[in-house]
Amino acid sequence: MLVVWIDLAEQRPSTLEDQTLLTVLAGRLGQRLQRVHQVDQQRETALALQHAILGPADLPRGFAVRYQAATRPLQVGGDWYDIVDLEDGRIALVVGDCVGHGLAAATVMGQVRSACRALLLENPSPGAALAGLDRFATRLPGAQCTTAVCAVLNPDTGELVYSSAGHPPPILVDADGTTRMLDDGHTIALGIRPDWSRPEAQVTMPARATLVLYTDGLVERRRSALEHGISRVAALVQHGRASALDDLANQIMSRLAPSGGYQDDVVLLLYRHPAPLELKFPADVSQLAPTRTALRSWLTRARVDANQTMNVLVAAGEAVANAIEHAHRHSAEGTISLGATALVDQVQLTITDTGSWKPPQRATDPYRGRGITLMRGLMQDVTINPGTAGTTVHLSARIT
Amino acid sequence: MPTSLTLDTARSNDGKLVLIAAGEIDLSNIDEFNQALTTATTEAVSSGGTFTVDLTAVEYLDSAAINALFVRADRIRLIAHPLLMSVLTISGLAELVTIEPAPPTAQH
Repeated sequence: MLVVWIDLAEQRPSTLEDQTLLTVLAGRLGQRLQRVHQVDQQRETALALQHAILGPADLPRGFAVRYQAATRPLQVGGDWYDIVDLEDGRIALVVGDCVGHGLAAATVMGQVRSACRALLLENPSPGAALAGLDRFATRLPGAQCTTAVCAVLNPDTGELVYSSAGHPPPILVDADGTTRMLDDGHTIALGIRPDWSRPEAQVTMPARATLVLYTDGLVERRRSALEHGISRVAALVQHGRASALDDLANQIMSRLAPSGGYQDDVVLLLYRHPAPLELKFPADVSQLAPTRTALRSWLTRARVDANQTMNVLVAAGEAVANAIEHAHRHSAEGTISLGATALVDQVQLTITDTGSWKPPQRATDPYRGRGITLMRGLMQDVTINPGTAGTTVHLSARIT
Repeated sequence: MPTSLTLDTARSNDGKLVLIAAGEIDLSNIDEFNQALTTATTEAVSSGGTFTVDLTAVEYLDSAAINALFVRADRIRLIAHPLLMSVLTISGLAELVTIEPAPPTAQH
């Protein structure tokens, strides 16, 4: 609604001309308002459609993605990423690049991304999916010469099968800093030869290694070899391999950005193995054993040795037991969450409950005092944050 | 899923009482463990009042179990898997109780 207030000169009566003028003015303003409303609606429609053709906004645990479109104010371009939960429990990862940027490239990209997803759900093989995309891209104007790397990851074992269609190689950085270019399983871009054979390669991600998929917009600079840009990414990941994954993604995006900002579409997709553990369970002693079993198997996947595994299990067990015993003594329906993340040289655990702990009183309650002493003795770092809504315990253990 | 724990008693060659535990000990079954310790304390009176707690096959124990052992520190000696040593040492129990490490080949 728009309100117009008009002050007439003192004593002057409103005339017929005034009324005509006001009617015309009101009509004009009404039209303009409607147009603004239409533009707003179109903008919202455009944004919704753009977000629909982009990759998923909610990622599985263990992944971080950055996407930047070259052509403002568009939020999509010719680059894409996708992360697909497959029926056998594996996860498909795709990063690709359709020729050009802007709206035309984005409309092609959206179709290629959907086709690739459908192909992977039909047959979870990177080579077969890219071969299918070849047939698709041959028939879709603007899709020829699309490059893509497609990988299928087993999140339990770290096994990765991948195939590349003319795309820059994924980078794998181990916990000890060893850096590998995944440049096997590589052949020409999509849509050029419809019956081209698509090779696959396989690698097993060691525990706490970081996988990097990206498009050339991240690494390509004028008057500079592509290899130079790729080794800059590898060096940044190697340097930041102890950082949390989201921090690492931010570091890479900001450190590689040219002074005037990225001139091309950019995708950066990171995965660190194993993905963090997240458990949620009722605050009840019957949950202690299954929680321990889940944590033990996750620690095995993170290649934590037997001694350190025992120390982490006991420290986490104490935190969970505290939460069950004290936080939920008076309420039957408490919930506890336990999260564990593996970094290069440490595991970090967070145990959160929905109640508040009794302060440890050694004299009257030697048992609880002993539990906290154990936690502090077994872990490198313990912080206990009591809050009104619940208590959060952070445990951090160095691993070798 | 309850925490699995089995408790047995036996006599060693020298006639001393041995309480053998196998499995995991936590808040959910601590009463069972406490009860077994109490029974063993009574039974051991005939043989000098002390007994052995064999934790060779215990894969996990928390401060509830350590507390139960502290209370009987004067009457027990322990056999424990090497993986439990850091927990038993950090808790201070190793200062009061003789702890013999189980052979490293012991199943765990």
